[in-house]
Amino acid sequence: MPGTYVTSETNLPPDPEDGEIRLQVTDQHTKEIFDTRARVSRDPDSLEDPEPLTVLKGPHENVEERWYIDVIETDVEEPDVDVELLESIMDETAARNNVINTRSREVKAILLYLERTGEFESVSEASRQLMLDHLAEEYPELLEAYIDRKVERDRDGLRSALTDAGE
Amino acid sequence: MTIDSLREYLTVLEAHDDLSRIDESVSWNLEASAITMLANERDARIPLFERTEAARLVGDPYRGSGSRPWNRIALGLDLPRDLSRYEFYEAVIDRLQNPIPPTSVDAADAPVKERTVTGADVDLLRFPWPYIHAGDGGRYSNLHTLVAPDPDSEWVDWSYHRAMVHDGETASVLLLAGEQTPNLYYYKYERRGEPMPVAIVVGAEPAVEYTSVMWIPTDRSEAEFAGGLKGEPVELVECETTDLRVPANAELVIEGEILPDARRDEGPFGDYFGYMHGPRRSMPVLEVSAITHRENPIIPFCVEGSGVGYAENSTSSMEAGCVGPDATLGLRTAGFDVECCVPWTSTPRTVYVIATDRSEPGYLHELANFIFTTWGMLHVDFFVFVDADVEPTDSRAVVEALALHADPDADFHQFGVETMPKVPLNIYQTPSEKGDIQTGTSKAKTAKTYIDATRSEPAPDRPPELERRARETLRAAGVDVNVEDALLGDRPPRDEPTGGWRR
Repeated sequence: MPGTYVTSETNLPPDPEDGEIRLQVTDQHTKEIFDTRARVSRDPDSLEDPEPLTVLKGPHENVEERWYIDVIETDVEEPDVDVELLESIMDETAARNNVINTRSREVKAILLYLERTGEFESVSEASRQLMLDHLAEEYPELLEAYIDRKVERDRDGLRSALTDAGE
Repeated sequence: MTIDSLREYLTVLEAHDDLSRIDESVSWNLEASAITMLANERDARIPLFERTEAARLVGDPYRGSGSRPWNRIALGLDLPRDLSRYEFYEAVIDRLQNPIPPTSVDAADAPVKERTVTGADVDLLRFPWPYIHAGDGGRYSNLHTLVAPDPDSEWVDWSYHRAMVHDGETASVLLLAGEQTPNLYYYKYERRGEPMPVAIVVGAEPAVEYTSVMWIPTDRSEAEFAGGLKGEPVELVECETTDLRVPANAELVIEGEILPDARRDEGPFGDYFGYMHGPRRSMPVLEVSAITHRENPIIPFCVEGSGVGYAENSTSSMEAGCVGPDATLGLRTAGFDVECCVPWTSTPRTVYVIATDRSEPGYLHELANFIFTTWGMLHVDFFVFVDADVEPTDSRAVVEALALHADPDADFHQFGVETMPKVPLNIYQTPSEKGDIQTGTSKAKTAKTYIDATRSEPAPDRPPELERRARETLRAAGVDVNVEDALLGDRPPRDEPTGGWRR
């Protein structure tokens, strides 16, 4: 298998070539698996210090695509998710209003610009979407933990509803 | 004589001219597995790689020969290697019916404690875990015994689950809900937010390794059954960083915890179906706290996927030689009239053949239902029932029974109940059907089938003494009856099951 690093297509974030990303890679020689902060691209000329990166695709990961990676930092670790805290916060936010308040003239100006140039339908949508995109990139494990718990809660709720309806 | 360790077992193989010591330097990266796969395909001597980094590797040490896949497994129990299928099964069943409690030894007397590394000095990557197939997601330990305790009782499960090495302190473990240890993890430890202490015992003595692949009932002592198989107590020693006790004569032990609510990539991996299976999935994380080992340890591995078709490997041979007799005893103990339950040759785990004297449709349905629901038969897709006089390890005889007696309209019976878990490593499910990443096991497509290939009319009487006399006459005349001997041998009447294996 050619290349110094290997990763799966499923590890690449949306728009992976737009700036710095967190990426799990395998060292091709030692087979050690670790997280990196890196830039990736199909074009080596767009990176400062490109090294070969093999991206695996397909349902059995047997299709290889040649990319390049510029590793900024290795063994990057996201802090562990405090699941108990997350659960209690989910209980808290379920019972209260879901408005987020923040004051910033600069942020408001930028968001208004994005709304008026048609990129977003409203300031509210812009702030929501941009925040979620940033969270997905910077805190993927936290977001995954939240989604897992939400799915479980929805499933439990549906199961109870079905059970009650059956009785 | 008892076989007290893996290296003693390898010495026995060598005495039978069945071990190749390879002195050339061989890489853990595909080389050791390629050589082992070739040895498997050619039914050659077992390869012991003496010059890999930091430890030795041995490829598929329990691989059996085509006509007797239990032959080397038998040597691991100090049984003759030329026993017929019938003789071997009855010998193993007899031992399982006489379990022997383990004994404890101090660390000073435990060979597995000759070297101990804990805390920051732990480094999994010091050892030559093999990269087995091109396209695997990582290096694997895949011929070992995973020890895990029930948090609510004294029961400790010994089982097998492949582990993919990530870095010096971390591995991901394939835990599929429906099996005993994964059920402990997903439904007890993780639900309570607690880590599950585990020990991965690498290179245990043969009796321990055989027990780990058997279907031992929940709450029964695996160590006792290993002692019964061995004929002597298994010696156990306490771990360094947990309260678990592990076989003292093992080559290497990885101690640690499987963390709640943590997942890392696991796979792709070329598993027992015989093809590269992906994509990678999120699986629980093992955080390593200590590694203890013998001097110059020997790490066994299995070239999974090479045990289909005409070749054998450790998995396919242990299915036939360990799971088969154990399942046979289990069904008899549950009150079913079963001559023999074996995996169908060339299909490790996926298809099982059951030879039975009773063939009423309702009875077979009850038997199939018992197996699928009681033991959570994750890996078995379907059973084939044949009459008791059909040798289930004889593929030709089983196919003949199917062709002659299985009516496509009436004798193919499907189970489609979601409570029967299904292994998600097969080739015909889509990635989304294999879903449920929370517990690893597919719930979307759980169809199981049994096929009734028994006669609708009883066979004409064929007195066994007449059969035996016919065979002796043929032998005396110089006619080769080896195949029949290999499978049947001389078959005395079967006793009712007694002893330790009870529901």
